[in-house]
Amino acid sequence: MAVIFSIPILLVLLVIQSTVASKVTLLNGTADLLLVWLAAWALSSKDRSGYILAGIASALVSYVTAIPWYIYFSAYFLVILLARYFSQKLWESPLLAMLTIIMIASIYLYTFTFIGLRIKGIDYPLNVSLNQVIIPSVFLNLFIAIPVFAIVKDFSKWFYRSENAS
Amino acid sequence: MKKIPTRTWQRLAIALVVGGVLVLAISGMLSRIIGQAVNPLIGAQSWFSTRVNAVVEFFTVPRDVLTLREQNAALQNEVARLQSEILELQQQLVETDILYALLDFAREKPENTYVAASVIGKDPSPFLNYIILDHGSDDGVFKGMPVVTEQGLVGSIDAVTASAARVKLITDQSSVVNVKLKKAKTEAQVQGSITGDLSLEMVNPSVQITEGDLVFTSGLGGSYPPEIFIGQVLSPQLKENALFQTASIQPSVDFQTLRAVLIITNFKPVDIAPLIPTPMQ
Repeated sequence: MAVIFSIPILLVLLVIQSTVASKVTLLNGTADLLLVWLAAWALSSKDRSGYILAGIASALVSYVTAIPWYIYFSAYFLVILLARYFSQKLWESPLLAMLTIIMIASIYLYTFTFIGLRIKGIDYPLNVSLNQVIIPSVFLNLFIAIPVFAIVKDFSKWFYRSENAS
Repeated sequence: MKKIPTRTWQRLAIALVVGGVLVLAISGMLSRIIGQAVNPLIGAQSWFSTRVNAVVEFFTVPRDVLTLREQNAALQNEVARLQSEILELQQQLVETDILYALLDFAREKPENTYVAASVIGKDPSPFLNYIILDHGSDDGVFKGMPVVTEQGLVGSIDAVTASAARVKLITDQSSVVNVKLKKAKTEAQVQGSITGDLSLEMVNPSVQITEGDLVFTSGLGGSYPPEIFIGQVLSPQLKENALFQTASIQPSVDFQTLRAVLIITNFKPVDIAPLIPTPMQ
């Protein structure tokens, strides 16, 4: 049920990501709305729907982007794995867990993208990539993490309450 | 003599009075008297009517305010609707201007056939400078086709679906375009970067390149047709002991505000990769 409800949200997020979020830049970095949403959902949800959503989200993004598909697959699954782990270990401070997950997953995503593109033969300079893309993007993801977490937490509360009621 | 009854006298008197009054009324002598008698009555009625109207207004005005409020809200809604319509029309006007400019460009180069497309998105990854168009293989768009605007070269089609296409911009890090400089009459390469800046590479150090020199596609390599404008040379640099000169390029196209583009559909890119000799094993 959570998956069915979340697919339209992921689609909307992807549209926002490619139209609005990609134009809101910090230096050359942009936020990854799907990654942040997945982390927040995995921390708030009570089931294992996060894994299926990570698969769907990475398939959607891979369809649109020219980045090799395995980068988004691995990054989004890492988000869910981290969220499951942190929700068990740091269950008393979910916001701290959220920020930690976003930081680790963002660094992983952008570093792995950098490596993946270099393997593909595109020679990105490390210094410029780090200063202009990786660090600003991590900051932007951390910046939107708190409001997204609040929204997703409310949404999951409403969702599980209505699911239990029915 | 028979006595006439009193009742008859009464009737006669009444008939005489009525007849007299009628005669006076017909002759017009009575109107003055009637006027003088009625005037105070009219004054009183007018006074009473004014007061009654005032009282009626007192009770009916609040109802009018409600009506006015309703009318005001309806008019405000109408104003908001018209304002949004104006914005929509202004938007259409901007799009029309862009399309007219593209049409002018297409008319100037009638040897090419074009498909106009709108930019509907950007690649989600911050590492890549790619855009997404709303036309795909159903409209005759295929991989490798050059994409231009009236200002100059934008990039080339990188991937296609039935109804959309992804364009690799010339500002992308992996993009290399073979070019020629108009004044310097030499050939070089324009390379993109992660920051979206363009740089001129592989320029022979013995060639004098000047600021403001115009950069066009050369057609070498078969990826782009020749004579498409790219931009102007900004700051030539010749480092000591360097094999080649470099320069930064000011692109003619504003890639941040791209909204509509033209895809050159009659240009078939040539894949020269099999012709490039590989080192002997």
